[in-house]
Amino acid sequence: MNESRLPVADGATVRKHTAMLLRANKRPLAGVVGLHTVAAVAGLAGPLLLGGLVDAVAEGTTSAYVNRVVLTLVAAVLVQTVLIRFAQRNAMIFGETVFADLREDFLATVTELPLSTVERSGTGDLVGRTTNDVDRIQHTVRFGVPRILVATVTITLTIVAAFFTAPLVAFAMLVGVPIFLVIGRWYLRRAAPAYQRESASYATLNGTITESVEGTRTVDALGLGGRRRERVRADLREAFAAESRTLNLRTVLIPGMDSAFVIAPIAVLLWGAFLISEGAVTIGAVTTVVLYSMQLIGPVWELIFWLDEAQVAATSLARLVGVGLVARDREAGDRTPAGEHTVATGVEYAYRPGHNVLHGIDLDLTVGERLAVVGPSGAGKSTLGRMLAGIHPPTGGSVKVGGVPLVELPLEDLRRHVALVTQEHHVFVGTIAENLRLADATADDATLLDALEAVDARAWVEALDAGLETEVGSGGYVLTPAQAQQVALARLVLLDPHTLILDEATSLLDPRAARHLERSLNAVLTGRTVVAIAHRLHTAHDADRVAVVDGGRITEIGSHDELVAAEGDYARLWHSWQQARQPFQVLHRCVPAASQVRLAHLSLQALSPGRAGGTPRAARRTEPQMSKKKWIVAAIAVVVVVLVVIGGTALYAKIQNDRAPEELALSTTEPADSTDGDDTGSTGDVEDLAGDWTVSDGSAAGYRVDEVLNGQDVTVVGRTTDVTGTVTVDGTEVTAADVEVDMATITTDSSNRDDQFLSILSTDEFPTATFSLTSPMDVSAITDGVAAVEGTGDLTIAGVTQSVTVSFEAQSTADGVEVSGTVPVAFSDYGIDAPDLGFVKVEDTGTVEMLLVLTR
Amino acid sequence: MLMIVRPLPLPDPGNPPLTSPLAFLLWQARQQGAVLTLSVTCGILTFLSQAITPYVLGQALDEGLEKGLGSTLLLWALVMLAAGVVQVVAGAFGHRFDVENWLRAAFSTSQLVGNKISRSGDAITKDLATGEVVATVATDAMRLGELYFNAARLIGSIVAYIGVAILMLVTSPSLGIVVVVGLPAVAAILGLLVKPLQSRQSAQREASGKLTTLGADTVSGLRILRGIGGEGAFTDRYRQQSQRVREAGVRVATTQSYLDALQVLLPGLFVALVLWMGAQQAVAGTITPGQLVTFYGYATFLTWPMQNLTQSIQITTRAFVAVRKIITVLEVTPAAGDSPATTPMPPHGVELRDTTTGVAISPGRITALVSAHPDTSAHIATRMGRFDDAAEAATPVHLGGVLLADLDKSELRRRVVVAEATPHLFSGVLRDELDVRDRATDEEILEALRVADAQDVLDSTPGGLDGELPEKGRSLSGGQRQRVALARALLTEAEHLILVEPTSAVDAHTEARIADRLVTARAGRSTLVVTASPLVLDRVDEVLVVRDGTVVATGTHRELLEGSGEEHDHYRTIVGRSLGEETPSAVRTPEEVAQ
Repeated sequence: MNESRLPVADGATVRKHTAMLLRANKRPLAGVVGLHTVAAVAGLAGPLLLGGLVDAVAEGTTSAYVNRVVLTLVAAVLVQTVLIRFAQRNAMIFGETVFADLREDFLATVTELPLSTVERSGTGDLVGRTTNDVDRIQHTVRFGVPRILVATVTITLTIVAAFFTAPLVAFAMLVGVPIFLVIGRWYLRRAAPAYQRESASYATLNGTITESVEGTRTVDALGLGGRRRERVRADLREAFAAESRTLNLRTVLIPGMDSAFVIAPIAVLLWGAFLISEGAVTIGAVTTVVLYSMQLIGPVWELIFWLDEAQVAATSLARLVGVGLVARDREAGDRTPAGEHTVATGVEYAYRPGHNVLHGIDLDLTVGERLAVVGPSGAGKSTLGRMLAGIHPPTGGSVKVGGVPLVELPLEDLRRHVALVTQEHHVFVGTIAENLRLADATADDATLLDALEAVDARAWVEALDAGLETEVGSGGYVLTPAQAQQVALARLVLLDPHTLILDEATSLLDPRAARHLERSLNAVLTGRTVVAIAHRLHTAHDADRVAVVDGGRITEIGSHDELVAAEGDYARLWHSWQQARQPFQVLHRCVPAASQVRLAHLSLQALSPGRAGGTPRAARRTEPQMSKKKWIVAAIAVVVVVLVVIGGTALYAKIQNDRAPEELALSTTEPADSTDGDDTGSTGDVEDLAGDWTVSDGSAAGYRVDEVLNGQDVTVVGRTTDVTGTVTVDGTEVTAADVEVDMATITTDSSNRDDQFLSILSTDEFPTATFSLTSPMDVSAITDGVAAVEGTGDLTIAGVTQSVTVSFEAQSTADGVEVSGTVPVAFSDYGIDAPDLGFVKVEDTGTVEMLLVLTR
Repeated sequence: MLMIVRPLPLPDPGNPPLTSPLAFLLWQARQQGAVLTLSVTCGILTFLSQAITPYVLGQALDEGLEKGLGSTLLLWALVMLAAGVVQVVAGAFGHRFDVENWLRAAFSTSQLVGNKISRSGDAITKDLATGEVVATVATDAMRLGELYFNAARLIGSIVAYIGVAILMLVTSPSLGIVVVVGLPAVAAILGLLVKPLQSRQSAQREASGKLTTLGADTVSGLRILRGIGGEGAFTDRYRQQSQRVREAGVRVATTQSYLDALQVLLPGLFVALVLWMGAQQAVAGTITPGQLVTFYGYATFLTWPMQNLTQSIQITTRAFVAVRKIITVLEVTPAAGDSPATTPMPPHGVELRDTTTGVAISPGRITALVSAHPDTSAHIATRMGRFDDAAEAATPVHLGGVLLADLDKSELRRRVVVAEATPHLFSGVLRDELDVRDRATDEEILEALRVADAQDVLDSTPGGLDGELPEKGRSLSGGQRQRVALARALLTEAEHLILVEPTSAVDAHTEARIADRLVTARAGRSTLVVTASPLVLDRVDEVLVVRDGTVVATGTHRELLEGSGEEHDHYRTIVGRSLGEETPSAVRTPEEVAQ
């Protein structure tokens, strides 16, 4: 389903986006930085004044001087307080504003995503981006960005102030900088993935717990407790591994940074003492720088912390920005459709270039008609539906309404023309009225209630305490799936498009709910052009036209009756569906098992029902007969083969001289062209075979068919003993062989057979099949009982005549000559399609076997 | 060796007392007593080594700086370095122990909750919302852990504060008293401002939570929005709520900025006061300039332990609230099987019978249960699996004559499996999620998929059996999920398998296939299928029709269909919406048929 994953932006794009975001808020940003700079300067007064005091006290001073200094400090504190008040407020508001802009832009981008992207990639990934990713960056954007600015300003100013106070001493406070740089870099490079793994591991744990709670009933019922406990343990193990990783990183970072902070004041102290002894600086200056070096601890830690967070946030930001990279899939034109007539011409579509899912579909929707689209899954039905709804631009051909391509219509206009309804339904958070007004923002309550009335939903909505104003959706009143679907249908009533595409709109529902909903649905469909993609065929039956889509093409289109009469794929689907619905009809048609049929030699494999060329009797009220007819045809084909075999066998029997010549009083001839000479053991006289032979009692014709039923191979046999006919032998040639088989008496051994199959392909009331040899068959080549002789003849079944070739062998018995033969048959040769209904399927090719007892 | 944190989770989280939050917390503290002791020791060392710095600095200034770079200064520098080394080392170890404390407590609690919900059945969801239960792991366990994490900091702060107070009182009683009393006063004033801040923060969090819900909601329904319009309304709605969050944020910012300003002002004024008093005393010669620096240093240093103390109060309060919630979850008792078994399991090959209705799964037979109300039959089938001892007391179910409630529940679950109509799929590797008993070969799994006609799932799950199924099997369609759940139920190879509406979401062709394969796969094994589908009913050994709480008819599908009489009519009404119509074209709605 995920043919198109949503893109994730690369680093450069994320940086560009961030810069854009900051630039858009340039002014507040400058204000924040300015205020914080001044506030930080005021904050530097303390150590400076203390240093001065230390010097003054050492040199001897007055309490008036102390008062002045302390008052200065108080003034500095007051200034800093006021500045901090505004700086912090502005900084936080800046963060809030930037984050609000970011999320609003993101959601606007999401709601404007191309229809085709939304339809194809689903919403799971997007929901993740809207919730998790937005959450993950919010802390960084709201607090992190301002704090990073403040920390940077403070660190810079503190260092500047230290150099300003005593440049010589200040050098010493930088002794820790190499450690910061090395450790900080080392840590920051590793931290982001490690913390991401950590938070992912907790997300997994929470997911596991959520699943256990939501599926607690299943956990109990299937005894999954042990597995769930093990899952929690595994998640905790992973969380622990992730925690250990970050802990190890911090085990380097914390002592590393701490030691830099420890070393700096000591270095300043020692270096300062040296400088004091040199008379280069005062004790006060050294004191100030020592205190500055200690004041750096806070902002440096803060900076590291936020840089860490920012890295994690950057990956989330990349996913948010990525959504904006989806290319537009349509350009609105300015043409206005003339009318409601929708026509698809040569529509092709490929999800991947070169792999067309649709191949040149032409479809002319009559205004107001109901067209059902049926076909196997994967045939391209849903893709076609999306083309007809104007969601995807086709890769070839066009879909136009009133002469204007759907994809050139602005979306708002498109929706007034055609709407796609899928099995997905969603109740939005808000009132029922709000849910409905999505389709028509200006509708008043009366209109809304009318729409609900139309879909059978007014009663239950009005029964709710707050009626239309009932809060529904996540956290609100919980609608049943059927109610949710009704709300969705009511929206369509309000939207009022002239064409609706229903893509299995009710298939996810419980069948009982689905049936109930169909009434609601019918109300919505009235007066519109409807294309219904369905697997429930009664939808198709109700339709004005039915289109069968297979392999990306429309293979059949027409009214239900026409298609049933045409006996194509649709007819078969329809029959199987009918049968599936009517088990007791199956019952009555069940043929008792024929237990003692001699089928040793009967094996007709190629059963294939299909189009008998006969009269298309098939109105839709006679489907069972239709099925039967196919079966008959198949059986006939079998029988025909049998007959052919019979004919051949008869000939064979006549010339067979090494098996049972005496008993049959036949003398087999030495074939003139025999290459085997005496070794063949032929002793009979060809003359003895001449004359007419009759097919007598004990003969049987039948078939063995391989059926595939629900994925399992089932061999089905059918036979009849009602075989009559004659075989004429002239010299070494069989000149005529006519055999009739009464197909109606074919009995099927259904002991290992599925009744449902029987009902679809039943065997009673067959017509007679006939076989006649069309060209003389030379039997002189037969010199051995196991040799094969082939003969050609015409087989006629229900008006369809086919030329068949039979091979056979024979043996003598006490009663006469038994001839058995096998004929491979392909039903398609008879213009018959082997039925393939998915769960019931007949192989196209197989063999027919027969046994004839020939007497004079 | 001390650097090595003990691997978690522990094999057994233990059995905490649920009598009171305090008892629970103390029990957990005892569980990790050793680590707690170690971390508190490190905490005390860290704080003391840091507390010593201003003192040393003052001494160094007094005795060292005046004399230049001499041996005294070097000595003080060495003392500072030593304190620094202690701080670095104790800090590093301390952090590791702190984290271990956190994880031990949090993970044990998570494990306890995880174990509880794996045994509770749906008793847990009767009293508690899913979110609340998840929050005990996602939030409450973490807050509990935080308490132990913070222990070292709290005790270290107290020790440092007391130590510094004594030192200052000895050096200068008046200054000492100002510092010792003044700082808590400052902290208290700041604490007063925290309340309004917190209420504004929680207002913003609430608004923000709504916003997230709104965003998720909009995106979840995006297909519909894009299909019928209304994006504008939703973007506006989101924008409005987003602005509400921003405004709430601005209110937070206003309060927060006052707090931030006060955090500058009060300590700033306090430091100025200390500096003024100290300087006056220094001018008077009562204290040395170095001691002045020391006092200044402590005036700033002590704000840190003070902060830790106020934070600890918050952390402790939160931990108590969290433990209460955790106890609520841990107190839940399963609805079935809470008391030990009183009767041994009956032998295999016995009948499972619902005494009230007479519905019984005969050994080795595939039975279907039908009633006019699907809920009724589902209810009967469910209680045959024993899910609520109290609720099912009035409707006893017997396995081989033994009351289910008298048996060991987990033994029973191995023998009797109920697959309900809305089963839950779990995330994980498809193979494992299908083979929940961990005993099937790949061939058997594939066979079960075939029986459930769910082979298509292998294609829609990248990687096939090795592929990952997302939460709730979201990557699958509704029908696929049902078929996967059926395959999973089949793979339990339960002696008695009860399937409730196993094919309700699949089309007729698929249903026919499944029905056929199902009866083959379960042939000779006790199976009960709740269904009204003729395609399934036609294939089972026996159909039981329940009406008004009792079995009114028994027989094969055909016998029931063909027979005459009220019960047969009733059956026909249930199973066939088009039954009784001569024309097979019946495309009437069921309502019409009912009429």
